[in-house]
Amino acid sequence: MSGPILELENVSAAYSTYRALFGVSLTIPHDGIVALVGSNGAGKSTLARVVSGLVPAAGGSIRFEGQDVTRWPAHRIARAGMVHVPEGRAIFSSLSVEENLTVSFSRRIGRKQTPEALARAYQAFPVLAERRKQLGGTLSGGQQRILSLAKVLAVPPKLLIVDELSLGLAPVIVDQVYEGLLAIHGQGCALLVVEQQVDRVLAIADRAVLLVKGAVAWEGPARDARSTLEAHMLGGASANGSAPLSANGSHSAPRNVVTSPVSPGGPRSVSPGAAGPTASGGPHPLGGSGAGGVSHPSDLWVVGPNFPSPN
Amino acid sequence: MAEVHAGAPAPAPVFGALGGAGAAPLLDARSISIRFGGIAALKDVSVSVDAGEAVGLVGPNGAGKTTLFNCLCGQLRPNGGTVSFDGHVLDDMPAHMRARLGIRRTFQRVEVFPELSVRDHMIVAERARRGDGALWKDLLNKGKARPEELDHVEAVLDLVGLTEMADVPVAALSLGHCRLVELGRALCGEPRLLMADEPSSGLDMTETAALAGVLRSVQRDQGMAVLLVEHDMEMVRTAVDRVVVLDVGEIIAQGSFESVVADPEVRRAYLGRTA
Amino acid sequence: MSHLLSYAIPGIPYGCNYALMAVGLVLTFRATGVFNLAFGAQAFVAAFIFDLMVRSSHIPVGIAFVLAVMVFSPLLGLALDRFLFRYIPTASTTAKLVSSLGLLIAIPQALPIFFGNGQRLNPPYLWLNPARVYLHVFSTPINGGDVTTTVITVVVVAAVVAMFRWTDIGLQMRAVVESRRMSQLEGINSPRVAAGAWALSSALAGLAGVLFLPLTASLSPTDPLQFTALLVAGLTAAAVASMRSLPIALAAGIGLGIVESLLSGYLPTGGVLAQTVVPAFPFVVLVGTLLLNPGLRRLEYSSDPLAAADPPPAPPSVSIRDRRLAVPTRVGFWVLVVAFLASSVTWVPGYYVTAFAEGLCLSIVFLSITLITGMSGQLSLCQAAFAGIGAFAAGQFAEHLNLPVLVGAVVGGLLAAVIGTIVAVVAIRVSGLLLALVTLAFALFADQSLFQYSWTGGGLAGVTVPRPSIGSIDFGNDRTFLVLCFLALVLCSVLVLLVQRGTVGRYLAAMRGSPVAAASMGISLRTARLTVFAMSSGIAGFGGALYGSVLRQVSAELFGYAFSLVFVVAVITTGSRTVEGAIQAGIGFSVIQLLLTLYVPARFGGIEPILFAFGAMTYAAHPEGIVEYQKSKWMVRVSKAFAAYDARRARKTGPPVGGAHGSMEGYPAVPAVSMPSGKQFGG
Repeated sequence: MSGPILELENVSAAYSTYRALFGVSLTIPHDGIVALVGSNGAGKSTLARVVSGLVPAAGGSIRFEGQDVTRWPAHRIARAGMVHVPEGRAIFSSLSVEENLTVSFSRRIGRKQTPEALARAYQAFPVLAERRKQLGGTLSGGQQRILSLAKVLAVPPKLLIVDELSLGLAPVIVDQVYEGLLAIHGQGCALLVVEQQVDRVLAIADRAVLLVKGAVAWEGPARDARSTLEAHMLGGASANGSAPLSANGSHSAPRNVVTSPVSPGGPRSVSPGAAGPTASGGPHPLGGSGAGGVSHPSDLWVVGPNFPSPN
Repeated sequence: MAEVHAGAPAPAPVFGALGGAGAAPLLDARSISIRFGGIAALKDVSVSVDAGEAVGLVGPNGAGKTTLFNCLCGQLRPNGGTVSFDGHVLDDMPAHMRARLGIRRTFQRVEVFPELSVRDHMIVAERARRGDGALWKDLLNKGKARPEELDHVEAVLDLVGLTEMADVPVAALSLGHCRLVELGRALCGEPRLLMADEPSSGLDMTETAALAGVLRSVQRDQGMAVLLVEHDMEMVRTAVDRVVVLDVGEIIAQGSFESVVADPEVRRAYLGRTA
Repeated sequence: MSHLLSYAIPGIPYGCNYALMAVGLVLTFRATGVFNLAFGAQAFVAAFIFDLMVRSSHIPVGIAFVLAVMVFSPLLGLALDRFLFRYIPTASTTAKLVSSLGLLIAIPQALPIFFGNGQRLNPPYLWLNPARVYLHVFSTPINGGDVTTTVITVVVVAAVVAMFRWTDIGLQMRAVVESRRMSQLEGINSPRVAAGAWALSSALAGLAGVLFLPLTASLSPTDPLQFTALLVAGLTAAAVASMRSLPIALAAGIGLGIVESLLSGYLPTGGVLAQTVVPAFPFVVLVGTLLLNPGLRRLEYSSDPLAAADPPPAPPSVSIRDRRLAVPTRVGFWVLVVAFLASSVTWVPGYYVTAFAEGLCLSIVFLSITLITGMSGQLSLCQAAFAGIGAFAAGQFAEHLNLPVLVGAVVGGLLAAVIGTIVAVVAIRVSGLLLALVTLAFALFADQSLFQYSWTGGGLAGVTVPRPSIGSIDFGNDRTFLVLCFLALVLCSVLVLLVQRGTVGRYLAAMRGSPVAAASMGISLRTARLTVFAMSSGIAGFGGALYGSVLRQVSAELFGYAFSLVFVVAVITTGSRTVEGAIQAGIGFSVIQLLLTLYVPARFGGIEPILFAFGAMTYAAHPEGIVEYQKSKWMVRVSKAFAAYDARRARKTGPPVGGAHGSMEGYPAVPAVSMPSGKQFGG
């Protein structure tokens, strides 16, 4: 079992004109655990959505087990063995506990094998067995998380992406949840764990990736991560002079996007009348030198708030 | 709760709800509690902003910042406690009435008027402030812009640095410029309190730094109060006098930026408990 | 007690049809986010095809039923999903409503093109003979039609509910209905499941249509309004169910049928109450539900927790006019106007002149749509009703009070404005989709109830609206009257332009751009909306009165709800944001109608609404109007050509001296901006 299970190369993404990701590259080995950290708004959730196919990648490529899945629809990616547990409410509140589990299992392993999987899930999490007819929306936050974990534990995927699993949970429940994650990993599933609570995830991860403003600011072994992360989470990256450098030298993609403003989705063209230096430019490293914030004019993107980003 | 550090650089009093040193606060929220379903999103939170003071509201994801912000805006009604601005109770007051009291706000997902030019945004804000706008006046062609309106608009455009693109339709501007338009539009209202909701959202580091600078200088110039909800710590450091940190629905620290960042409770909230 | 039952029981079969409609509406809305008004049309088409198969092609009833309801209807629904709604998944609910409006208009109009114009009397029945009484329940006779309808409805809805609860596909549908995105993460092919939901609800619509046949005496493709009752009641039941719960939709539909039946049973027939209360009742319930049901408040917002992953809808294209185009455009415009007037007064044949005059008056009515929909951003589906109020007022005042027509037109306009204000005050608490539905309810009410009295719409004979007389000028001559209409249009256009450019216009533009931001600036949305609604209905009334004067004789069907829809759709196609759009729509409407009458067989008359309906379908992608969009594209091409020309000239002659005329007006090169703090912002 060699080769990485997931490879992202230079992936960028946007929500209409909010450019959310810039040239992100990362790799997850077959049995690895990768922590994806960064403050809110850094693009962690966007990256999770791009990988699972909910948000189309505007550029770059995504390979899952060697296959190019960049243009695949989300349900096909899910069936191929990549499961994404989104942040917030990750279960169907109008379906019962049992229906939540059934809908997941029957899609992934077929109806015949579903009863066995249900039995496994109930055995691992008796709290769910007690509530199998209860509507998902009436479960507590912790129980909902456990339900989403049960879906994955009983039928482990090849790659599990969990987004802010500990959000809003009491520490004791967070312990349980992380134990569940390790159990899932023990069944041969790779993990991509998106977390804001850095310490928890670093304790179980092999490698860590730090996203800042949509680009990879740092990447390396988890044990080396803490000090860099502290600096970023609580500010002071530029003031302290510890300018973030990507460990493997990746740069953010050029963000010079100039579109004709008149028709949405129109061809990429230089705006009429715009003179040379403001219109195009080469790549520029993230954050500049961190001092003074003077940036290359190529940073200018003349894309309005509501126009779709050009492809 | 962490100690409050006096000696913050701003001239306005630093003590918030813990006992003001003199005048009553401009925006005063007392004992705010909110429950969504079975979950307590805010537990007995008291926050205040004095006239002319810039306060930053921070906290990790899920701490309740947005919920508290919406309560302070008057958009959300708390289960317990009350929010008042300059003595007026804000609960259930419709948005345009709150604006008339002197509160302006910006939005996390920028809300501009795509078909209008930058200058038009300011003119509309200016008119709205003056309370003009009757149909019969328009029909008698009294709707033209008056000189004093235009002067004030030019002044604000200059303040935020948008003079050169005043006639560009906003739909053609970058997000960073749109944030400035939102800011300028709010300033035309000559607010006593500006509430800014994650203004750095979607901006890169340079733009964030620039916006923080503009916000700070404008705030000092106009002497207005600012309540800023933010994730970006650099922006918070530049733009505010006092920081309030929320975690799991409660205030865990207040004070100057440096003191709050060094506070072990705050570090635990953001980084998680060491295992 | 037996009275109660004997009044209540006949209402059940009607109630079943309402329930089927409601269940279909709720299902589609939940699964796809589309509020599909076209369901009424789909029901009608299925009924029509069924009738056709049984009586013209002599296909056995059972087979015809299966073909109409289980083959044709789902296929039609799938086609709609595949070719239209799939392309606008993220448009606002209102935009999708406009698309379904286009379908509601186009589909019935397409039928005569294929099948001819004839009325079809005595439609066939399904299963049990409605003329035969099969049993008595509490001494109430139950005929075959009642039995058929009730039994089939109960069986079908029970099957649907069972499917949802116990089958795999039902489970998937429920998951998709809650969150398309999350379902995809579970490996469910959401678009395919949504298509399945379309097919199912279309089948339900088809079933409703076929079951409704025994309750109608005839099927006329040019008058599908008999299905209006179905539409209104279906809407009401769906609203009671908060567009969410299928069992409540079923119960509400049947309940409505029973209550209606009770009302007409208990109120003395022919009495005043029966004549006024009974027809108005469904609308009162509909509007009441729309306004008072708190479960409907969230209609505009998606409850899908992963909705943030969807891109926002496309904005209108910004039109940029190059300075150099402005002069030729303006000159060309005035030349056109003068040429038009001159020709109309002289050499153009008489019937064209009448069409032009009609078009000018319609343009005034359409200006009201520019005000309310284009400028204020509210979709109002009752403008024809206001036009009717103006026309009938002018006519009745002229006849009974000897009021000069022009004065009557102004009074009619004021009356329409007053009624419009009342409607607005009622509807102003809601916006978007709900507002559109409330105005639709008013249009239906005016159509079915308000205009039916002799003192309003004049009954079958209608109302006479004389031509004005000022001094010795004979406005009986169409050409002279055309000039008067032209002047009236100019006056109204100027008023609308003044509003557009004034403070209220700017407030409205702000409101359109972002109501939240406008409110945060202190703009009272309520006041602005009310003012515009009043002015808009007033203008519609005035225009309607003049229109009536052109035609000389008007009746209620001229201002039917279908016309309200067609008017909206027409203006939306040409551009609802500008005065030109309204005028183009008005004149285009009349002229195209005339041309079709002159040169094309009667059965193809439906082409005109269909064309406009296509415009409506593109609304979601081009909210400024497909015609306006094409114009902007053309403008951009010309501007680019100019810019290229400038660039070539600049290369030859060096940089321009003095002002830079090379740039397009209003779009300078975006410069580096220096900030007070000295930092560069955005380069």
